[in-house]
Amino acid sequence: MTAKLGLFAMFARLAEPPEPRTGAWRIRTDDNREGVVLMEAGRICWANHDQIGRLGDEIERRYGVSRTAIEQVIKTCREQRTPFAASLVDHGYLTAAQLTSVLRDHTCRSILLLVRSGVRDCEWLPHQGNGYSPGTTLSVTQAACTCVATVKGLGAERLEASLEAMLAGDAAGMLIHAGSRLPFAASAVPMTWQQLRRWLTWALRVDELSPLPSRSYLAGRGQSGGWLMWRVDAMLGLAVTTSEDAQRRLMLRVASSLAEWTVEQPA
Amino acid sequence: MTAEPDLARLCRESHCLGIAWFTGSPLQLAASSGEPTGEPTGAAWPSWTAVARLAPVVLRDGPIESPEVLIRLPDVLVLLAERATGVVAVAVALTPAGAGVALLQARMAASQVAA
Repeated sequence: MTAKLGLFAMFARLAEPPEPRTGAWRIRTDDNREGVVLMEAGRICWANHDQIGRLGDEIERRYGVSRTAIEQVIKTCREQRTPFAASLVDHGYLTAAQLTSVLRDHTCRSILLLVRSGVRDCEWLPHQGNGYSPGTTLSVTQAACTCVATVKGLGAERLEASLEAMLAGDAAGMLIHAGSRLPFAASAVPMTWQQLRRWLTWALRVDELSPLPSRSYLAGRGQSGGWLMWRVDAMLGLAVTTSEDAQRRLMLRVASSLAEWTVEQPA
Repeated sequence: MTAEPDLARLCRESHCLGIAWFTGSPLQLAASSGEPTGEPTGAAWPSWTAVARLAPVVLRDGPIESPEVLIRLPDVLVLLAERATGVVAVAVALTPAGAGVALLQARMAASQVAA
């Protein structure tokens, strides 16, 4: 009997598709259902599960795009072989930000449903053409952290915005809740799954050895960049830069804004 | 280069709250002079022993190996610096002049220990 995959074990598997890393993970669950996670160049563009509501319904509910308009876009996309989600933006029904938000939410809820159903097997099906041409994608680490935040009842997008207020694209990094020892947000600057696991373990070790007081930070400077770890209440931030200039900017930003920086905290 | 017995003089002359010298594996406190204590400065101070446990983890095991690490506590700035024969730590009070001035002060003091 094969062991079921938990959330992190499943993401560890999703993070390593064969080159060129464009294709679909077909996922079988204990209830004899199937789901898919589509990937483009190693990034997640879409996931689905039998039991999740349709994306079109979610777009209608969230943004008031009529069912008729959605059906028309679907029809056009089929005829012209263009991607559905990106076409919604092209036709002016959604902004790029709205598309990113709804796709991410739908994708992460699908992945959570798959995990809850008991993932038994992930099979990789390479894309036969050039790819899906998605309008938007998210990294595996962003998807994992979004799933964690969703499970914990927090706003994943708000957490990412708080993180990026510090990182500003200069660093890869994450937000970690010290109490649950889980990552709640991942940076827009990509980091690998292995980096997320290694940095998470390290940050928690540092916090265990000597917990930082709230609104304090630790910073290390090496030959090629550095790192910075800060804390506000139970939330730890970690940033890793790969150039001296980026590290300098990061230091200045954190030092000047940490006193007022806000982040949602789990109950 | 300042020998261990001179830490007291260095601490006094450089207006630091404390200076410590760590050696060995595992890293242990070899000598120190002063320590941030009292309210509010010492409220968040972890102790030199805790710094000895933390130092190798932050200097060597972090996402990027860092021969210099800065710890910014609410009222104290601590500089850890790797040396060939050990690790020096300097604690400086933060003043309205800002962390930049405190860091400069800490670096100047640290540069006189086993540099």
